[in-house]
Amino acid sequence: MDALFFNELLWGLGAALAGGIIFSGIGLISGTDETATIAPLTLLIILLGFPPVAVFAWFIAAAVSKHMTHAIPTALMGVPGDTMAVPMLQDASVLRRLGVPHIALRKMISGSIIAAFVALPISVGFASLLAPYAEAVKSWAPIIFTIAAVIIAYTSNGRWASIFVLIPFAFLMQGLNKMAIAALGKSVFISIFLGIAIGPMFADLVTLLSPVSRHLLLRSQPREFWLAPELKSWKGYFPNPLHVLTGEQKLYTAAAAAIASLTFTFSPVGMTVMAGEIISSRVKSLYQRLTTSLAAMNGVTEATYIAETVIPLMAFGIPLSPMALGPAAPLFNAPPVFTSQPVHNLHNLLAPYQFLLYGFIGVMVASLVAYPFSMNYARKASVWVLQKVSQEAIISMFTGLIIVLSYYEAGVVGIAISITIAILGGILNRYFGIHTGVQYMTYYASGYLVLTLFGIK
Amino acid sequence: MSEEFGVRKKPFADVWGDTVDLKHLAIAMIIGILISLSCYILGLNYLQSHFPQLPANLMTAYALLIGISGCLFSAIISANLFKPKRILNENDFSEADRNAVLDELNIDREREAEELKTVGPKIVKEMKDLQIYDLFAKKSVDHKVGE
Repeated sequence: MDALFFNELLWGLGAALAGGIIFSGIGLISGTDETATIAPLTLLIILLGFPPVAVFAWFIAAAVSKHMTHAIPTALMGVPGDTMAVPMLQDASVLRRLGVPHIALRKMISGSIIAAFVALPISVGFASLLAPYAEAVKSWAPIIFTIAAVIIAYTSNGRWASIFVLIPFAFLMQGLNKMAIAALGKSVFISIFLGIAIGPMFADLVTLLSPVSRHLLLRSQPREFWLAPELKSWKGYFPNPLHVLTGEQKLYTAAAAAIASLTFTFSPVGMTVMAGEIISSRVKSLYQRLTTSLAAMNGVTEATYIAETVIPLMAFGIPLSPMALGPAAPLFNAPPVFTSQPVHNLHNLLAPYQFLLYGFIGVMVASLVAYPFSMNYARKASVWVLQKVSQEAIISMFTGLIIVLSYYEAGVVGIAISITIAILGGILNRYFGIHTGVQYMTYYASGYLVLTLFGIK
Repeated sequence: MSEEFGVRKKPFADVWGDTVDLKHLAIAMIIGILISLSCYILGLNYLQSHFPQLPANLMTAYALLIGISGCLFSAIISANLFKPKRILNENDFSEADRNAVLDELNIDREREAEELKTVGPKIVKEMKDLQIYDLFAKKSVDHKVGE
């Protein structure tokens, strides 16, 4: 028993370390979508047969690390690291223009460390409270997915367009799935999921291929980036996050993180904006206000990362939050290893103490890898990425990734399905505001919708 | 650096949030697909012929690992072939710039100076270390910007 525990512990530590290092690097590249990067690699380690505890520790370390290094482009260049960083852009840009972007960065990532440590135990505790309702939730899952799809669609930028497209899009996905069944005798998930994730890129490609729409994306010059000068102001390699924030800032961050952990079904961006607004109205003096709200807002996004993954996973085993539908999706559904209908995934395979223990391992590893790295090398690393890593190289890698993974699942049929979904889903996303969350939720509801409305099983 | 790009008009475009040269992008995508997919297929064939005793699902998972190394490899090749289309500006900040920013943001200087008195000692020390304390503490600022 002890030997088994020790073996698992080593797996957890090793996987967390790998996830932390890989995603500290990926986070430096501004604009890399969480879903398109974390999900495929998590899927890979699941398919490779990593033990469940290692999968969970990997995921938490990866998500927390990527979130932390993502603050670098946001603070130093004014380019959002990911979609969740958008609400922080304005405050970060004022500090950048006052010549203290490194302070914005330090406050942001120190806030996110504190939030991670607060959010994990709260999420695990809240999930245990919700667990008694799990059976009810599971048996109503298809209907819950359908209702959730309508709600997410309504709250998306596309609003009525998203609701209008819901049934046709469900029909399309089930139709493609039936093609896969006809060709291979099994249904597909990875190909559809990746198609949705990579959609915006394919929308851009189609836009550029057509002479009618090409002008929308063409530009005559390379893009310009402004990078602030280096201003290091602490000694040693490991700065202490508790010293970076003042007492009041720590309090606001912890409180915001705790509240954000309990609202796991809401939009993370909405929660972040709200936290920022509330704090801005309470804290006086520009510098104090900006640094406090940045710490707390980045704390909120960190807390939602963790809570939105842990709570639905631990309590229900079905993906009922924006994170669970995006970056964390493989933890719920990665056939043939994990499935969510019927539930056979980390929900059944991990005990509550393991969620807590391996979650902490993930957060700890991220704070030992990504935190000092971002504090010390933020500027050098950004310069390196800007000057050496071209967008062509990134797209080259992701194109390969999508093609290989969908070929792995269903051969050339998988590739065809993936690209079909990518083109149509991408256009709906880019031009009509029907974002990936709506599309994933529609996918989960599609089986039930098509069966109920058209009687197609 | 900008002259290098400006010699003749290249087909630049924004794809997936950053600027690319369209010809480079096409080659990079072909590289990505060819290398990654052949790594996966050849890897799977190799494993099937040399390690037939491996369980089928593990075999395809290892082949996937080889395929994904192929993705990384194609990224390295593309990064070496195609340089980023970005111009990096590194700017310094002067007192006048900072004042200009505050003006641009329509900051109420009088109120800021008042509010600064309520701020705790730790924040005050931070602001003094960063040399932005005086910027907010001065009640009326006589400065000329831009002219």
